[in-house]
Amino acid sequence: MSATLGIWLAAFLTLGLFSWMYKENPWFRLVEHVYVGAALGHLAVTGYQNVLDIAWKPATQQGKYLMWVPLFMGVLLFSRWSRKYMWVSRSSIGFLVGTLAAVSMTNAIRAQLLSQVAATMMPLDSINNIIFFAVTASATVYFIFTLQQKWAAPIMDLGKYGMMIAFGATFGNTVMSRISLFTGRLQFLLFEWLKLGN
Amino acid sequence: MTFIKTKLPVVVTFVGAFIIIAQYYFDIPAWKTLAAELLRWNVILAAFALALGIGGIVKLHWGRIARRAPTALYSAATLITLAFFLAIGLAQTTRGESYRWLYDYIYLPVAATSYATTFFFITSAAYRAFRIKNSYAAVLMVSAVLMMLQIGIFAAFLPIAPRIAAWVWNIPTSAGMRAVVIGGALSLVGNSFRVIVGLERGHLGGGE
Amino acid sequence: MALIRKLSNIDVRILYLIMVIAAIYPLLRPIGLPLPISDRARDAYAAIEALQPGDLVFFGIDYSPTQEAEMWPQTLAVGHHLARRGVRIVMLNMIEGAFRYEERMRDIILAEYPEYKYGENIIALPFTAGREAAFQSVVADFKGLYTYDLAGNPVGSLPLWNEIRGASDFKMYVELADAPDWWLRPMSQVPGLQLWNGTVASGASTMAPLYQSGQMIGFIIGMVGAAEYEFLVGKPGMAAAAMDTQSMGHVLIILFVVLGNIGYQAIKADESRAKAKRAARGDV
Repeated sequence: MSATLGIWLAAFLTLGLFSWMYKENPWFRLVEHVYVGAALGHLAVTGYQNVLDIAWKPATQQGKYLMWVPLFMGVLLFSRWSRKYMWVSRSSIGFLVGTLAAVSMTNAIRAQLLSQVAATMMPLDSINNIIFFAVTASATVYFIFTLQQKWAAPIMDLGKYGMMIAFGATFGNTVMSRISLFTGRLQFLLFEWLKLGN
Repeated sequence: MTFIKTKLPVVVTFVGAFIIIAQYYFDIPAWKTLAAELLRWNVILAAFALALGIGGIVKLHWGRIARRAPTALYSAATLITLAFFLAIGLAQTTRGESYRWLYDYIYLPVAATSYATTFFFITSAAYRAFRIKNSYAAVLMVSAVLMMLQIGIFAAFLPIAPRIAAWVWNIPTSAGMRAVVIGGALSLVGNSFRVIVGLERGHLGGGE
Repeated sequence: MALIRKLSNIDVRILYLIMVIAAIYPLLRPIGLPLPISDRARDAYAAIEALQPGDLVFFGIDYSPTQEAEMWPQTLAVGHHLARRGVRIVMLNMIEGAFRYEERMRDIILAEYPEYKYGENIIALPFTAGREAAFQSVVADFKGLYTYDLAGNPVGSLPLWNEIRGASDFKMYVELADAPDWWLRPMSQVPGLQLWNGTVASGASTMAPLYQSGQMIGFIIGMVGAAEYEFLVGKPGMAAAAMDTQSMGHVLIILFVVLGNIGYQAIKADESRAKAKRAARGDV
C-alpha cells in the first residue's frame, strides 16, 4: 500500500517538474521547493550519520579521544550562521580547505600532469600517433597565454580545432546523456506508474 | 584576538597542508600516521559542512513566511519537507525504513527529474542556439554528429559508423581533452598552492 | 522564403512534443535497431572477466539520483558480472545520494548468488564525506576510516573485514561515478590496483585521456555503455530497452540543428542581399 502511495507521489512530483516545459505554473513551483527542502534535509542527515559513525561513536564508546578535536572543530563551523561570530569558523574552514588543497595538488601532479605528459611521449610511427601528438601539443600551446608569438599562431589554431573536435564529441555524448535521463523517467512513468508494459 | 580571527586560520591552513604534502618527502611512519589522522579529520569536518546550507535556506524561507510574501506558501513547502527529512532522519538515520521511504518516493524522483528536464533544454538549444557561424563551430558540429554515429540507427544504415565514432573518440577527442586535463591540472596546482600559502583567502571571508 | 522563416520560428513546445512522442513510442513498441558493441566495452568486459574467484575488488557506487538513468543499469550489469566472477566485493560510497543504490545492489547479489554471504565475501560500507579526501583516506588508512558498515554493524564483526590489511590487498577498483577524476587521482597511488570506470556520457570526455594513457583498464560510458555491457553479460535490461529511444532522439536532434541552421543561413543571406540593395540605392 505504501509503495503504491509512494509511486503515485513520485509520479505527481515527476510530472510537476515536467509541467514547466509547457509553462511556469504553481505545480512546478511547489515541487521545486519540495526538492530544495528534501535535498538539504538529506545532506544534513547523511552528514549527521557520517559524524556519528566515524567520530561520535568512536569518541564516546571506543575510547578514541582524539576524535573530540575534529568534533569540536566541526561544531565551530556552525558559527557561520551568525554574522557576529562567523570568524569562529575560519580555522575549521582553513583546515578543511588546506588539507583538501594539499591532497588535490599532490594527486593532480602525479595522476593528471606527469602521467598525461608521459603518455603523450609516444612513438610517432603511425598516422594515429602523429595526429594524437600534434593535437595534444598544439592544444597545450594554446593555453600558454603568456607567450604571444606570431609563429605560434598556426600551432594554436590547430590546437583550437583539436579542442573543438573534443568539445563537439562532448556535445554528442551530452545529447546521449540527456536523452538517457529523460528515458529513465519515462520508463518509471510508463512501466512503474501506469504499468503499460515491462 | 586579531591573531585568532585573521592569522590563525592561515596558519592552520598551511600546517594542515604541509603535514599532508611532507609525508611524500619523509619516509617516517609516525608522519604518515599523522597525515592519515588529519585526512580522517577532514572527512569528519566535511560531514559537518554538509549541514551548513540549512542555515541560509531556513533564514531565507522563514523570512518570506514572516513577511507573508507572495511565495510564502512555497517557502512553507520547503521548510515542511526539510523538517520531515530532518525529524525522521535524525531519529532513524538513513538506515530507517521511514527515511528510506521518504528518500525513494520524494527525493529520488525529484532529483532524477530535475536533471531529466535538460532533455528539453538540449532540444531547444539544438534548434535555437547551435549556429554554425564560423569554421570552429562547423568543426564542433561535425565532430558532434560523428560522435552520435555510435547509436544503433546509424549502424543499421552505415555499418562503418560506430568505427568512425570510435576513432573520433580515441584519437582527436582524447588528444584535445588531454590538453584540457593538463591545463586543468596546472591550474589546480597553482590555485591549491595559493590557498596553502595564504595568498588566496576568499574561503575564510565573512564576518568581522 | 516565407516557409523557411516559418520553419526557423517554430514554437519550441511543439519540438518538445515531437521529442516526447519519439521517446515514448519505441519504449512501448520496440523497433529492434541493432546495438553495435564497441571495442571499449569488450575490453572493459575482458578486464573484469580476467578477475579470479577470491580476488578482492572495490565496488564504488558514487552517483546521485540525478544520474540514475545512466548509472543504475551500469551498476546492475557490472554488479552481476563481478558476482559471477566470484570475487570478494567491498562496496564503497562517497556521494550523499548513492546509498540506496549500494543497498539495492548488495541485496540483489545476496538474493541471486547463493554463494555470497554478507560479511564473508561481500561488505557494503557507508557514505563517507570529503570526496577526494575520503578516497585519499582509503588509500592512507582504509581500515582506520570505517567503524560501521552500511547497515550499522561494527566492521570488526565481519570476517572479510578482518582478512583485509589495506587498500594494497585489492586487485581492482570498479568505480561507477558521475563525477570525473577525483576518485582516480588518489586511487592511482595504490601499487598494482587496476582502475575500472563507468561514468555518465556528459562527463566521459574528461576521462578519455586517462583511459588512453592506460591509467584505467576498463571504461564504459553512459546508457549506451550500460546497454553494451548488459548484452555482454547476457542480461539485457533497462538500458538495452532504451536504445531505440536513443536512436530516435539523436536523429531528431540532428534534424533540429540542421533546421535551425538552414533557417539562420537563409535569413542571414536574405538580410545581406537586402543590405546590399539598400547600399546600391544609396539608402542609409
